[in-house]
Amino acid sequence: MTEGSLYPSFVEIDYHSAYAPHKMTIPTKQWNSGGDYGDFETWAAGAIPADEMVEALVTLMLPFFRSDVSFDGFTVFTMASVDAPAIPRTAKVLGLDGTSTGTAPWKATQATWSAKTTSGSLAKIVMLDVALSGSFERLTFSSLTPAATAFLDEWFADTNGWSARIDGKPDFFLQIAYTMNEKLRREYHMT
Amino acid sequence: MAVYGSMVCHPAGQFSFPRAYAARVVFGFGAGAIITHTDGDFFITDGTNPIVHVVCNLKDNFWAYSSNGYSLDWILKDWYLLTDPSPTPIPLNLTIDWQYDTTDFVWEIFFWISGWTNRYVFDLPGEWQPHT
Repeated sequence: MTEGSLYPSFVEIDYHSAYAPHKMTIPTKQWNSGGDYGDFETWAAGAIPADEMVEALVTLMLPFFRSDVSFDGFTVFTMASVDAPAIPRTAKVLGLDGTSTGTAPWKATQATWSAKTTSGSLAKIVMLDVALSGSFERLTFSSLTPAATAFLDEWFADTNGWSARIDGKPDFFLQIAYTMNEKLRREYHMT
Repeated sequence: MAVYGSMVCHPAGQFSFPRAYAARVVFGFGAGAIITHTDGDFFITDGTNPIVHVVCNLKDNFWAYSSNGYSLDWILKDWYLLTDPSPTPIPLNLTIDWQYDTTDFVWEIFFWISGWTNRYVFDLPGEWQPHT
């Protein structure tokens, strides 16, 4: 994989809150056709059904979103080369709702999960409209909840094919940073 | 001056979305409705009573493909009833839903009236090609 590129494959997850629709893009290892939704190559040199891998990760995201956030579906894209257009290859409906009972703020909030990869690069997952329960303090390893640990274990597993834009398996947790997303604040007429 | 009746939006009127995320508009009317349109101006003729029409005008800025963001309660210009031969518009109530189509895996905007039975689907203009 070339630095900064989503080549060879990535997943786009469609979700929406009470305020807006969002798309979450997560790079992966190579996707190959076969079975109902195709397979991703894994870091353990195996293969995993695409829907199984995506649904497992999304399910572990649900504790961070309130129930008015719904994960609608996902689409897998592949790229023939670094500069080639992204081609949609398979898609599936999810229909999963958040389970968090966290308190405000949750409107226009952003959580950024950061990790180092096995190749030394950074991997990030951004979640929008997450419930913060009143605190913008960053979370480090010692303050992780069991739900956060479970999510990270899934993201880092070598039996999955989650990747970073600069190659490498997400492997070492750095932090969860929280902020208000200024673009969303304007979009939501909060400024 | 916009003409429409009571409007209910789901998830909310202020639900804010990038235009590029909406793949199409869908209308919920009775069976056999005949719908013609020029860009975002739709003219619907009732399937069982051809003297009854619904006029739906969407805002031009919304219809054109862009990366702009809009809210559900902003995109509608007109939604009214015409009964031939009267030219007088009668404001009509409607519901606007932002929803995910579970067959085509796209987000759509669904305009519907009470008692609808059939979906009428119209793709929104997409990203022009080639896009560089």
